Parts: sequence; structure tokens; C-alpha cells
Amino acid sequence: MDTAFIIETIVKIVVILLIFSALAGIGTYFERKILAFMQRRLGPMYVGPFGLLQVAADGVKLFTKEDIIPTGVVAKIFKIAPVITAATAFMAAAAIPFLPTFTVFGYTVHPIVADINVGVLYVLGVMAIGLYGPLLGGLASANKFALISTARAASVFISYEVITGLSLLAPLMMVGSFSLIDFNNYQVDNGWLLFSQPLAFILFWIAAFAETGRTPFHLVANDHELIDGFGTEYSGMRWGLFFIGEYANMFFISFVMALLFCGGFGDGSVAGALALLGKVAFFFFVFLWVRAAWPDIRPDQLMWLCWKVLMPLAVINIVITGFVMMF
Amino acid sequence: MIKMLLEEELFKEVKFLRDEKKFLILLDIVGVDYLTNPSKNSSRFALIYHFRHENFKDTITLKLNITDEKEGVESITSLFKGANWLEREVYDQYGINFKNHPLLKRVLNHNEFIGHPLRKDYEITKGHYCTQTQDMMDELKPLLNERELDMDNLTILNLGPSHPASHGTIRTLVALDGEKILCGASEIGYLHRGFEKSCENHTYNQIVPYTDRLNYCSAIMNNIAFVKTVEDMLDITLPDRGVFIRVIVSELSRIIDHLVCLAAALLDMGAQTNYWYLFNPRGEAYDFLSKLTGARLTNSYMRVGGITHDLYDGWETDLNDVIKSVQKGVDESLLMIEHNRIFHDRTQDVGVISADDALNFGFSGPNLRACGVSHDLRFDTPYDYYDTFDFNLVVGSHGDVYDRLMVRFEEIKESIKIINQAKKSIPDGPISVSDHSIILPTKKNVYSSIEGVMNQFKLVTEGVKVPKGEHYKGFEAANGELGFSIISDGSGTPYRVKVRAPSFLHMQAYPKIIESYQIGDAIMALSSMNIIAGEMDR
Amino acid sequence: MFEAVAFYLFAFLTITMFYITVTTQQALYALTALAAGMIFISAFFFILGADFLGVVQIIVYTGAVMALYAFGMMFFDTTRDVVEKRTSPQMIFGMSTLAAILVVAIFVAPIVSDNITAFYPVVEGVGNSQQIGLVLFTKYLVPFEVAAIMLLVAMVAGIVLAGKKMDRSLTLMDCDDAETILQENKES
Repeated sequence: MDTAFIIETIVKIVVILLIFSALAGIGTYFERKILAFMQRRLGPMYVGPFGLLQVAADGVKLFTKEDIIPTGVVAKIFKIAPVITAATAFMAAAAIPFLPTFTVFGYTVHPIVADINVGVLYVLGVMAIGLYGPLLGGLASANKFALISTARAASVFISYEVITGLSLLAPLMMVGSFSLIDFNNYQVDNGWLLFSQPLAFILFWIAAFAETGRTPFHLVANDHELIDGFGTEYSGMRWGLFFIGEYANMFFISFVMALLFCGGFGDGSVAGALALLGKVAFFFFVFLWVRAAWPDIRPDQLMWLCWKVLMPLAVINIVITGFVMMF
Repeated sequence: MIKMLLEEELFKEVKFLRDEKKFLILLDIVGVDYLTNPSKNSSRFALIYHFRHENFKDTITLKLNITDEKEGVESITSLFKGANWLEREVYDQYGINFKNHPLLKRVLNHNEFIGHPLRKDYEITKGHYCTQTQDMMDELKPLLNERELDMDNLTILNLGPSHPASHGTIRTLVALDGEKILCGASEIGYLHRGFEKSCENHTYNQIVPYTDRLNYCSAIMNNIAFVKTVEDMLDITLPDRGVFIRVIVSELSRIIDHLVCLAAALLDMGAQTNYWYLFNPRGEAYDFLSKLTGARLTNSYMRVGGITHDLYDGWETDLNDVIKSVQKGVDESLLMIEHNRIFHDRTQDVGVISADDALNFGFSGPNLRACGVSHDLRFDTPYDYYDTFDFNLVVGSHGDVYDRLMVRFEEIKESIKIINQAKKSIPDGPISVSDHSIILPTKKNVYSSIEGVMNQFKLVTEGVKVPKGEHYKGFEAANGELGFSIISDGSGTPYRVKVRAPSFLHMQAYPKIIESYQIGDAIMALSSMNIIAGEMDR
Repeated sequence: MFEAVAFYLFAFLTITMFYITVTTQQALYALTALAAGMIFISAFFFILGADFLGVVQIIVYTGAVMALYAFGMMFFDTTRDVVEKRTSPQMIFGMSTLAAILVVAIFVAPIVSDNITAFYPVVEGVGNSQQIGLVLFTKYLVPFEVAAIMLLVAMVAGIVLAGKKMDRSLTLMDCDDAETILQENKES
């Protein structure tokens, strides 16, 4: 491994961290504005033109808030838990290609931190570790509401990991490789996987809602029942890290969905790159749209949906795909 | 009809009334302290019981004089479940004991309070501080023992008093097994401000602003309920224009109250957009009310015998705009949830209460109608020309959260119908009775003639003099039957005022409604019952 | 060179994490350290070029097994310290050192004496997952299927043991009793 490679990797890591932290913040601005327009009000308007500086103001507020560590919590774990959420969200970005390979000043840039052979599996695995943020945060807080939220988080996240894994098995069989770039190239030749595997797409989409904890599956930190769930005892930037992790997760899952099912960046031209960004923006918009439109469901209804509806459908999908591929 | 009884006869008589004569609803239990009453009563303390018949038209009142308050009377909790908290309140405020009550302790004042505040010899300048919350194990342990549950395996959780979804400060202690609630106990009184004690040294018109703060979501209805009781005692009726104005603003207040309940209930489910679609018209309704009455929320629009001022020019167009926007908000909100599977799964067969239980607890209003009982005071004992308007009585079937919310949606539409009809047929004329001993003179008279000044002076300082007597009147408020029991000693200040608050009786049933449901269902049940802490705690 | 740095770094982290797991008195510290240790072990797989196994290590151990431990931890108060009974620390220390030396000896001996050969040489040109797939579905097919059945049996047994009202068997009762129970279930 030469030093150029090391430096390039480090630069890529820093760029991804900076851009996506900023995007997580700007994502909250878009959420507030889009939700507001759907609800016939204006959203942030006063801080900066059209309220654009609201994100900066919120960031400053979170950084300067007093960092309260309640007595009775397990201090070290309490402090680590938000970092785990944010860190795993960004670790998943290591295997996602954000743009097609391009050359600038004669130097080829691969906008993917590590093109490992097991790309998809790695992304799913690291998102599975993201479970530990709410889990440890809730267990370490000496608060019954946080404990209930942790129990819900553990059961929901583990159940929906099964669905993400099973629903991805059918497209994997067709593509034959775990790498996200291979998925993209397969779709260039054979058409979007959205059309050849619609059921897998829908299952993965529903599981994405559950894994990111968005309405209608927003019950881990549901403030109508559990105050703020595992985040109840957190204040200031620690809570901000939970928040950043949630929004970064939303962005990365949108990238994964666009790459896996909707053609990714196509043939690698500028139009393809813009199309990828457009698809990601569309998926993110749908996350927000659903939050404006629908109420939440109860935890037991969520588990019923996972084990009695989605999992059988995923297994049937795999069996059918297997048969079709054999004959 | 008042029937005097001896203390020993109470339980038998109530049982007879319930089983044979079918007086199925316990409306209220009023305690009275006759210590400083000019017309002497045979004993210091008395209890007044109001019941309503199965046909919802007839009422009967039982009155008994308490010879020894430390011994007290037999509790009727075993006959009417709604009597539990009503008797606790009488004990709390007066110190009258109830024998065989399941758990006789304070309900409105805090657990470290000393003395009984509504007694006439209580020092009203004394304050009592509460230093420790009660742990409510005395209520929860018997429930756990009844179900043979071991507390070590369960999570005991406080839903409230400061919880984003407990409307107002209401505390419910629940015993959880995972997510399922096994039993619970509620504690109220966090908003108790001593309304009934304040009534005893204010004139009748001075009490009207206090009634605003009872059910603060539909303030004008409380005004109307109170002044109607006083007007009954004075035996006066308003001229027609006044009656029609009352109908219009009270139906508008009913709409606003239902909008608040629905928006909050849908928000508790996570449907944020519905909240905004329903609150935008509420804002416009408040703008209209502030133009009309001078205040947005706590209007104090009514006076004994009339209304403060007439409708302003151009009220029809403004009211039309408000109604249109309410209609649009309700239609859009219903469009989003009516056929939504998630909404149905969250609200149907959740928080169910049967019609018999509801009647036994003393439910009324939309919560009772959602159980399938068709009881609405506007239909059963029509007042204010309600029998001339063409509108429907909205009834549910299952008594679950879905029915309670849908009944309220439909009632908004019915209220819109009433307002439209009343607007068309509102007559011209005076808005108040023309009795100088009741209504204030016009400011022109006050500033230009001696009689006017004297009239104003007497009415403001001494108040409207109501003849001696005791009267109860129920009014169909947004939440149910809002009743005022007023005992007058002939002067301008009432001797005793008791509010029959529908939310108080609904809250009693809450721990029973949420048993064997989950936390999410408990939150939905609470918000669908529209518990307004202002009238529950007074 | 970078491999050596990475190896020593992750080795140090892993040993620290497992040391914390064994010696701490706070149950929550032990849980977190164990989960972190599992993740650091997967780094060794990545260094050796076995990406698939590395990711599977993350998914299976950290994602599933540790989550199971965490579920178990919810049933007791995690904020209190756990006091263990240590009757004779010297015995524990001595036995564990002996066991460690034995394990190292067993694994190092074949490598040092150069007595092991690979039965299946690495196939060129295919990725890691394909190589595992090739071996798994040809030579080790029967153990793979047996392991799958064992997992299924374990799942069913877990549900039967832990589920509520699982000791009642509807098929072994009379027809009427089963009917009443089904009716009750439908109403509740």
C-alpha cells in the first residue's frame, strides 16, 4: 500500500464526514420546511433568508448547552452511546459509492472509501451495530421510559435486520456479487432491479423505514408515549449526536436503495451522477412525506407485520427467484 | 323534586332508585356546610344527591342532614362506581366520612393538606405545603392483590404528571408487564385552584370570568351553563335574540373544543398534519371570538340575564368564513385518516368501555354517545329552541377510541348545521332581559342620571340578588353534562356553588379503561376522552 | 508494514476489551466491552483477507449474539455493581494461565513443525464469498444442512420453552376444550 493510497483514503474519509454531517443538519432544515408546507404553514422563516441559518443556530445551541450527566447513570456507557450511533452511521458509508468514477486533472478518483467484495453485507452489518446506540443509551440511563424504549429498539431493529437480509437475497442471487459497484453495473446491462424484483424493493423499503425509526414505525423514541425514549436523559451535543446519526442513516439508506434497486449512477457519466443524487433526494423526500401523512403504529403491530407478513413474503420471493433462475 | 331522607335510609333508597325506578345515572354528590346560612338548617352539614332517570328526562334529588360528620353515611360506591371520587371530594372538602368506602382519601387537595377547605370556618389565608408526592401504593396494592400479581416482576411507571401526552397535569401510576398495562391508579388535583371556595365571596357576575377557566377550551359554554342556572332561580328567560346568540356562540365553542380534542388525539398518534389542518380553523374561530367578545380564549361573554354586548356589524360574513374553514379542515383531516389502515388499527377496539359501565360511572356527552347510548340534553330536555333546529344526534356503537373520535367529527358537522340555521332565523330585538335589578344600566344612563349611578352602584357592589333556594341545572357542554348546583341565601353572592364537571367522572373510569391494553393505547384512550384539567380539578 | 501496525493495534484493543469484560464489576461495562471485542476480532479477519468471514463475524456476533445478551440484561438493574464471590484468586489465575498455554501450544505446534497443508487450494479469480460457497456446497454440504436443521430445532425449542401458555397442546385435548380455548383467544 503506497502512501498516495493512504492519503487519498484519509481525504475521502474526511470529505464524507464533513459533507454528511452538514447534510444531516440540512436534512433537518428540509424536513421542517417540507413538513411545514404540507401542513400549510411556513416553517423556519426568521433566521436568515427563508430560515436557512436555522440549522446553524440549532447547531450553536446544541454545542453550547449544558452537558448534564444525571447521577445514577452508568457514566462511561452513557457518554459512549451517542457516539456509537453517529459512528456506525458513518462507518456504513465506507462501502457506498457516492458518485461514479471520474477523472480530474488526469487523476482517477473512485468516490468509494473501500470497494470490498462484501460491500452490501458490510453496510448491513454496520447498520446492525447501530442498534447499540439506543440499546446502551437506554440501559445506562436510570430511567424507566428509556428502558422501555430500549426493549422496543432491540426487538424492532433485530427483527427488521432479518427482513433487510432476506429481501436482499433475491437480488443478490441475480447479481451474483456483494459489491455495490457490481450491482450498479448489473443494472446497466439488465435494467433496473426495481422492475425485476419489485417485491424485494418494497420489502427493503419498508424495512428501511423501520431501521431508521421513521414514521409510521417511529416508536422507539416516540415522544407521545415515551417522552424521548433512550434520549430522555441526554442534553446538548450528546443528544445532537443521536440526531445526526438518525439523519445520516436516512441518507445512507437512501443511497443504498438507489444503488441497489434503482440503477445507481448508470453508466458513469455526469448525467448518471446527477440522476443518482436525484434518486437519493427522492427517497429522502418520501421519508419526509410519509411522516407528514401517516400516524404511527403500535409496537406489537409492528412485530406482527414483520414476522407474519414481511418475512413469509421475503422467503417466497427467494424461492420464486431461485426457481426462475434455475429454469 | 327534592326528597328529604334520614341518614340510615340512604343506601336502601339509592338501591331502590337504581334497581326499581331505573335512575341509572348518578349526576352529582354535593356537600353543604350550613354554618353561616341565615336560614338555619337542622344540622350543620348536609348532602345532596342528584340522579337522572333511564329516559334521561327526569331527575330526582335526595337531601340528607348529617348529624355526625365523623360517622357520616353509607357509601354508595358499590351501587354507582362514579360515586367513588365524588365521595372522596366531599370528604376532602368537608370532612364528612363515608362508611365502607374502598379508599377514602383526598382527591383534589394534596395529601399533606390539613383541614377541610370548603367548611365555612376554614381560614382561607392559610397555605399548606406539600413536600412529598404520594406513592399511591395504597391504591395500587389492592388491585395487584386482587389479580394475584407480584410487584417484583412488574415495572411500575408514572405516566405523568409531566408527560408530553397527558393533557394537563394528570398522573397515572401503572403496573406494566412488558408493554401491557395490568392495572393503574390515577391522581388528580394538580390544577385545583379553589373555584368553589372563590364563588362564596364573589357576586354572581364576578363568578362568570372564573367559569371561563373551567373548561378553557370552550369557555363560553361554561358561562352559559352558569348563568342559565342563576336565571332559572330568578325565573327569567332571555329575549329571543339573546337565546339565538347563545346558541350560535355555544355551538361555535363546541366546535372549537372538539377540534382541540381531535387534533391532540391525532397528534398523539403521530399524525402531525391533521393537528395543523384542525388547528388552523381554530385560530380563525378565535379571531372571530376576539372581535366579538374582546378575548380569544376566556371570553366572559355572558352575564346573568343577558349578554355583554350585541353582535357586531358584519358578523355574518366573518362567521361564514370561519365555518367554511372549519368545514374544509375537517374534510381534509377526515380524508387523511378515514380509510387509513394504520388509524383503524390504532383506534378500533382500543380503550373500550361498555354502555353499562359508562352509565354507572356517570359518563355523558360524546364519550357516552360513543358507547351507543343516545343521550343528549339538547334532545332529551330541549332548551334554547334546540327542538326547532334540524340536526342529528350522533351515536357510536363500540365505545372504543375510534367511536369517540368519530362522534366528535360528526358533531362538528352537526354544530355547523345548527349555526347555519340559527344564523338565518336570528330575530332582531334586545339581547338581555329588561329588569333593572338584574341588568346593568347603559353607560349613558350611568353617566347622566342619578338613578343610573345608583343602579350601577348597587348591582356592582351587592350583585344580582337571587331568591333563597337550591337549584341544579345540567347543560350539554362539549364534554358532556356540565351542571351547576347553586344554593342561594337571598343575597348577591351565592352560598354554595358546585360544578358537576364531566371530565371528573370520565377520569375516574380511565384506570379501568386502560387495563390489559398497551402504553400506546393508554395514551390514545386518554386523549380520546378529552380530559380537560381545568374542569376536572376546578 | 501497515499490516503489522494494524495487527498490533487491533490485538492490543481486543485484549484490552476482553480484559475489561473479565475483570469489571459493572455488568454494563462487561457487555459493551464484549461487543467491542467482537468487532475488533473481525478486524483480524479483514487483515487476513477473509472479508466475508469478517463481516459475518460482525453480523452474527455483534449484531445477534450480543443483542441477545443485552435483552437478558434488561431484566435486572444495570446500574448496580455486581459483586462476585472469589474464593481463591490464585487457583483461578493459575488454572487460566495453564489453559491459555495449552491452547497456544496446541495451535502453534502444527504451524511451527510445518506439518499442515491445505486440502483445497485457493481458486484464482473469484471473490471470497464464492470460494466459501464452492467449498460449503460440495465437500461440507451435509454438515451445513445438519447445522441448519439444528438451528431450526433450537428456534422451535426456544419458542416452546419461553412462550406463554406453551404447555397447553390444542391437538392433544378433547375437541370441545380446544374449541372453548380458541373462542377465548378470539375474543381477547
